[in-house]
Amino acid sequence: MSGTGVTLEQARRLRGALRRYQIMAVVVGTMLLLLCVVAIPLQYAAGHPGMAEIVAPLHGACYIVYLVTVAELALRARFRIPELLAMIGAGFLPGLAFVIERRVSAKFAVPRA
Amino acid sequence: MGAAQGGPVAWGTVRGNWWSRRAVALHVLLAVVVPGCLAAGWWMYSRATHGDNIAWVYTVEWPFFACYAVYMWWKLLHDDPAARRAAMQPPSGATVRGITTRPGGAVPEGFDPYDESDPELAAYNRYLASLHERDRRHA
Repeated sequence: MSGTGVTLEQARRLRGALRRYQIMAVVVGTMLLLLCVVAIPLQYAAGHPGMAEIVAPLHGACYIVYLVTVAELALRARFRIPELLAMIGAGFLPGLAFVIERRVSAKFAVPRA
Repeated sequence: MGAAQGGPVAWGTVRGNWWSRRAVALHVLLAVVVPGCLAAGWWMYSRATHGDNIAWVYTVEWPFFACYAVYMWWKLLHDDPAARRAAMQPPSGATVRGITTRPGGAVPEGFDPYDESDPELAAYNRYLASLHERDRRHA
């Protein structure tokens, strides 16, 4: 089988896109867990909204950056629409970001640093 | 990437791209997501103007999501299967790791596209090969 070769430059760009996505997936996933497990219970159960008022907008801002990395990776690697939707959803469903990130990374069979 | 290499696209291809099952799914998604995002943005704006300062963040965020949906819709719509397959073949005369391909993207005899000496390239090649296989099964 031949004809599927690509240049090293393309491989590097894809690798860069994957790395940026991996970093943002962990950042957004961590913030969302922090928000749902600590900040929101503090706000509604303990009446201390201070942490949620900081973490919620921060998560919102990071999610935008996350979406940009998702767009770059999904378009470059030609993901299917359901795969793309799973990556988008992973940013606002608690815990899902880590699961989806592992699955996406596994597609490339590149060892994780 | 693929379309730029392939040159002008025939009208039949364009029409096919706009009304294929995949394209219709994209249109439906867009029709649901964009009004939804704009409605949510409007709701957040009304909360923000009634004194909820954090809602200003979401007043900006929801319209961004709507723009994102339009951008992805447009990009995915133009990522047609033919261009996708073409992109997987190195163009004629392209240099792949120092080897110039023949017309049609064929590589000389004895050339191993899965040279494991560069793990980055090998991993990407494996991934591309799996995409290629997937496209063939769905074609």
